[in-house]
Amino acid sequence: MTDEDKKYEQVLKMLRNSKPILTESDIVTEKIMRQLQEEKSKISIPELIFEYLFGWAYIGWVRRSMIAVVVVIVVLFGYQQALILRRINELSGQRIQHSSLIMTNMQDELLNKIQEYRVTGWKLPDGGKSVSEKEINELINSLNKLQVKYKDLFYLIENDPRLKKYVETRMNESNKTKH
Amino acid sequence: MKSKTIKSVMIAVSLIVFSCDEPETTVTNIVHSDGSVSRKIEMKNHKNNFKISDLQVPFDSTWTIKDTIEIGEKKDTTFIKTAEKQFKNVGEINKSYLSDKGANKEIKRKAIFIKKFKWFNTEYRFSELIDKKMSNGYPIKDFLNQEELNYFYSPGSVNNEKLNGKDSLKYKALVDTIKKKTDDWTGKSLISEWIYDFSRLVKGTAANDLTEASLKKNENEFVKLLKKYDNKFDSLWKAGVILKEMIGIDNAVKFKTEADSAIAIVTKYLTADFKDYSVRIIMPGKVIGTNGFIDKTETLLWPVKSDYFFTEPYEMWAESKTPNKWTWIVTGIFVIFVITGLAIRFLRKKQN
Repeated sequence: MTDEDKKYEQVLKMLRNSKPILTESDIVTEKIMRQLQEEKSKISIPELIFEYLFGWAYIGWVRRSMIAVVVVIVVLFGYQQALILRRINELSGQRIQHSSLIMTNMQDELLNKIQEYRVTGWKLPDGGKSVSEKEINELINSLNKLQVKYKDLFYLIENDPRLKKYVETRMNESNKTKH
Repeated sequence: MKSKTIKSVMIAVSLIVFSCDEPETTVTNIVHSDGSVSRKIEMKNHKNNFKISDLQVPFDSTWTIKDTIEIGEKKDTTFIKTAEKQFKNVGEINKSYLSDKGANKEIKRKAIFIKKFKWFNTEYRFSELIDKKMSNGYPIKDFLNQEELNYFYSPGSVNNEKLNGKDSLKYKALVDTIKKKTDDWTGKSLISEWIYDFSRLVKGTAANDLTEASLKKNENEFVKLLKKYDNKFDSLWKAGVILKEMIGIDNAVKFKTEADSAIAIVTKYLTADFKDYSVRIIMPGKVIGTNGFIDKTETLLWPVKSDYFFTEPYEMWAESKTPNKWTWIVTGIFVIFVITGLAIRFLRKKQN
């Protein structure tokens, strides 16, 4: 053993015998914890949401299950739509070009009702009408009055060139705004 | 059995039917997605005669009734009565059928509504079912081919159009064929019914040669006899000549009463009163299947004639679907969610 080796061994022995003494362990622990929390809070909120929402994509069995469900939904959708289309096509042979089974005087009324039903899911009132006869009379009277007033108005406009021009200008402006 | 008696009864019945002042009737069922049905009966007559006993479809004072008059081009007057009612469900319609006092009260009719949730769509099925008159007859499809069946079940107006159209000769020949075949069908069905009723009446008293199975073996022979004696059937049956040829002299003498009873039962099926009408159904959503006819208003139409439910129940059915918007949205969001998750994972993996 050389002198250098002896010195090295002595230094090692001295270092081993003089271990650092941790006097304030609580403060050190707190500091470490704070630092860790700070690291954590550096992750942005959107990232956190993303992690929360799409964390499943990193779990094998969940990911595979989700893919399987989507495939089943797509197949089910395709199958249902194909089946419906096929059935609708099969109906073409049952179409007739006229509707003579519908009574002539009822046709317009029924057509309106069918259209109303298809658009709004309309139902026939359960007996009686929801509008009373008095209300209908009032409506007719109002309509008549309105028509008379409009007649007067048109007469006034027709006989006053300035007013006519003004109305025409305003109407043109109004039409332009609509377009 | 299609005897002269039966034929004369049929002619008499048809004369009564055409001479009676029953209205031309159309029933419209507007089916709603909740199973309720708005029902409207339209009756049209050249006389202001709408007696309950003449009407094809029942209605009462709880319906909203409206009377109108239509003056034709030739100044002829047509009286129109309409009756409307909102039914909460098909059960209420069936109740009204049970209390029917009209012309078709002897016929069992019922309405059926089925609603099925199928995730992307909700499917609806509505049908009006008329029970068969005869339990031992043969189905008409055993006698008519598809083209003939189409014509047989078509509304009169559609058939008239064909008969007056460019292929009128073809359709006239088709009508003759259908008539001949339906005569065979009626005859064979009546024989079959007679065999059933007769064998039931003689059960336990007759020998083995009069069981239903043994009589069935000779069914075609009986049909030939029916055709052979078509014109003199009534008198020959009364004299027992036909029965002797059918089941032998000894049996004919011994079981004449039972044979007559059986033929009386069979005759009853032919004379059962029924007045034709039309049924219209309007379904919620898009129609995806039906055995009716679809007119230009997307309304489904069926003629109702007694021949249609002579040996088989007559079901006028329609199926439709409405899309479930919320399921489309939920499914769409889910699919996008999964695809996004997979895409994010793929991109991150690529970055690392």
